[in-house]
Amino acid sequence: MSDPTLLVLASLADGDKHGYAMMEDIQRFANIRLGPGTLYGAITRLEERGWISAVKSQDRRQPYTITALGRRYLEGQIAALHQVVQTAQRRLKHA
Amino acid sequence: MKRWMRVAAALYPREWRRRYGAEFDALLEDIGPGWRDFWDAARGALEMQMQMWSLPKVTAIGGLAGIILATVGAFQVHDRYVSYAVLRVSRPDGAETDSRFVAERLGSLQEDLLNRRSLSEIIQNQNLYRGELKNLPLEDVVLSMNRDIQITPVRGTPESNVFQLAFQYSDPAGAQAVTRDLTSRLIWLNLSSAETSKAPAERMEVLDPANLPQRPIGPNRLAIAGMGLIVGLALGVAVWGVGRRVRAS
Repeated sequence: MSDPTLLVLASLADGDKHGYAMMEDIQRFANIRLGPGTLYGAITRLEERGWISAVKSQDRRQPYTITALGRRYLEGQIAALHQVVQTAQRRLKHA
Repeated sequence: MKRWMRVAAALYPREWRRRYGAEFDALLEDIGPGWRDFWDAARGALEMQMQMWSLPKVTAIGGLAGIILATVGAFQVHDRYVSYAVLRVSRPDGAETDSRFVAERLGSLQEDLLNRRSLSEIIQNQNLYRGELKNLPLEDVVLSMNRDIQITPVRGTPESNVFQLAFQYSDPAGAQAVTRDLTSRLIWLNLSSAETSKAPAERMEVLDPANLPQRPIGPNRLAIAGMGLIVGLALGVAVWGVGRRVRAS
């Protein structure tokens, strides 16, 4: 699971965050350090698709929130990943 | 590093910078970037540029770049001039000759005419390939000269024993001088080989002496520029396609 868009959605799933907070969070839970270009490439794509949106802020650090559409997409992706993990675990057990 | 990061950030498209520029700069300040971040930001900028370009814009840029590069490249290549001499070879007894006879006779003479010693001599005597000799060994220049010499039967003439000797070079006077030299050497080789074999020599006459070429035969700079345009347009479409794929992923 190294898709930056999925990592950003996962990071925003428990609350709004700005870019630097997302980077730190992703580093913590996935042990992956997204570079600034990769992170903002993902943010741009996610916002275009309506999966995240900018939260009003006076700070230069712009926080983002996951939208209902984004949450549904993330749930779908997690379910698919879960299916893959379960299948792999079952096959490993019987191998 | 801050300066480099500013450069990377400036590479993003203007519209993108209007929307994300301030927060992206704030992020760069927060992370204390290193070289890895610089490359990541530069790659991100390139991807973003590719995604934002429209098909007409990117193909126009590709086409323009292709035509400029090809034209610049075409003018780096020297003009090529070809000097021709036309000769006829006949049997000593005046018997009829066919093209096979001419091919066999020329084949054996060509080996001596175009061998390394003969061509090295011509290169030195005529002071040819000065630029090439600065960078390449004489052997390579001799090989290249060999490729510039053509001895071919003249098609479309009623006589099957007429052939053409041609030499291609970057200077018209040089092309003529070498063709003249090669013609003399061929005639001399024909006589000396007959003397060695103690057989009567074939008659070899010069019908048209080496001419001084007036116009270059190449390179066709217009065609090269056209190729550059086509390749540039194709690359533009490919870049646009990659940009779309990145955007869709």
